Amino acid sequence: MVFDFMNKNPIFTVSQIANTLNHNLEQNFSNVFVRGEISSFKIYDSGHAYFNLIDKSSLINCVYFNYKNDSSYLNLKENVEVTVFGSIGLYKKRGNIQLITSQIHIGNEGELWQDYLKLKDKLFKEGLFDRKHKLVLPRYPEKITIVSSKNGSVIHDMLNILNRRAPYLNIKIEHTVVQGINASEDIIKVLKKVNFNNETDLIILARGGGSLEDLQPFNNEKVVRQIFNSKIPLITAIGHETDLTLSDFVSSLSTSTPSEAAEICAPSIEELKDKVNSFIDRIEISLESVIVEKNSLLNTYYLKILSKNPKLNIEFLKEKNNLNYKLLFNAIDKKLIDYNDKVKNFREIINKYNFDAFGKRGFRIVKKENKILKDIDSINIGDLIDIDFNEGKISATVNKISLNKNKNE
Amino acid sequence: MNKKISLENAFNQLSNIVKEIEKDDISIEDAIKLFEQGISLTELCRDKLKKAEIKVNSLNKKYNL
Repeated sequence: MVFDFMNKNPIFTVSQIANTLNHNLEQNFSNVFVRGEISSFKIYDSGHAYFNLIDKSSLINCVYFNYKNDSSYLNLKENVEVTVFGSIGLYKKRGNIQLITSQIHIGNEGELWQDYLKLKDKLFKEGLFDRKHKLVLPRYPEKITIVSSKNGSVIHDMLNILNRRAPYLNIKIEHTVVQGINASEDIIKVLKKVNFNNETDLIILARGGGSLEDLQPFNNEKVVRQIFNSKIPLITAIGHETDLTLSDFVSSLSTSTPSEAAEICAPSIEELKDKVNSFIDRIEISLESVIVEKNSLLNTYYLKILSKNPKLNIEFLKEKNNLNYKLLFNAIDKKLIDYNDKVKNFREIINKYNFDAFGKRGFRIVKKENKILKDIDSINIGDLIDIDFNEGKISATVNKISLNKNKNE
Repeated sequence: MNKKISLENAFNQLSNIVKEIEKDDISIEDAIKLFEQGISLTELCRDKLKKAEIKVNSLNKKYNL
């Protein structure tokens, strides 16, 4: 809002004044810590809390909207020393200045809270809370180590949930003090040991709800740095819904309660069974289609091979071999016949030559009954004989047979 | 006669033997020698084919083809 300061006596409307006041208050008193004593604390049915903050000489009206739904809800009594965190504003309808409260810290919690914010700011600037540093949680952890107090209901509740949901898990409990002056050192010692042994897939750092002071060990800088340096993924499960410790900022995953951590750290046995079953189904389906496909391929090859049955080929080859056999015999037979013919020819030529030569010299062949006569004993007087000449033959009757002298001798 | 000779090779040899015998200028002694070789080769082929047939028949019977 811009005012015309040249006009020395401007006339404001009420709203102008109220808005300007509110604006100035917001600029100067946003997110402030105010320490004082509680007086006339009252919670209305709406859930809002109205009270006054006083010291020896002054009073501020305070309002805490939806206080009833706040996790740190307490029915605060008169005279309790508190530090309130919030912003100052003007309730314009009534002209009241009031502190719109977002946190009430009892006793010295105000200082703790300021330390917490300072450290948070420092570690944030250092990059300890960067997402890139966070370890990926195992999807199917088998070994889980719970770092917590072995006494009390937290561990009991967690084990109940884990045993019901994920009975397959191998759970180890590492006891640590979770409250008081020794807690930080103890937590660091146990986390170091678990990291050194390196026998677990996942660490759950757990503690039940408590006041800011109770949760101090988890806001300890050394503890936070130890968690940051963990080589094993770590889930924080500290306090109730809205309790956010610095350990929660630095861990791999922050859960709002130990029970939630137990629920989400590992898949339930049912989930795993479903998963396995769906894998089996998928494998069976794909296997079936593979088998069908291969079978039809096999059938094709089988038919091809059948058509190549060597039985047919062997018959063919046998025929061919028999033909070879016949060809061989034909060839040799022909050769032999040729040879025989040649011999016969020669013989005839020779015979013919001989016959002619003898004939010219006067020798004749004498035949009786078409048989060549070779000696005289087979001839008797009166026999008909034939004598061959080149030009023809003569037939004669035997009149006389005279034997040679030396033949008789 | 080499028993490891393939059928195809034996058939080629036989074909050449027949051609040789059929030549006009071959002596009868050479022709007979070649004939003897040829007969021996065809017997070898018969033997091979017989064995192949027995094997194939037993396979056909075994697998009901």
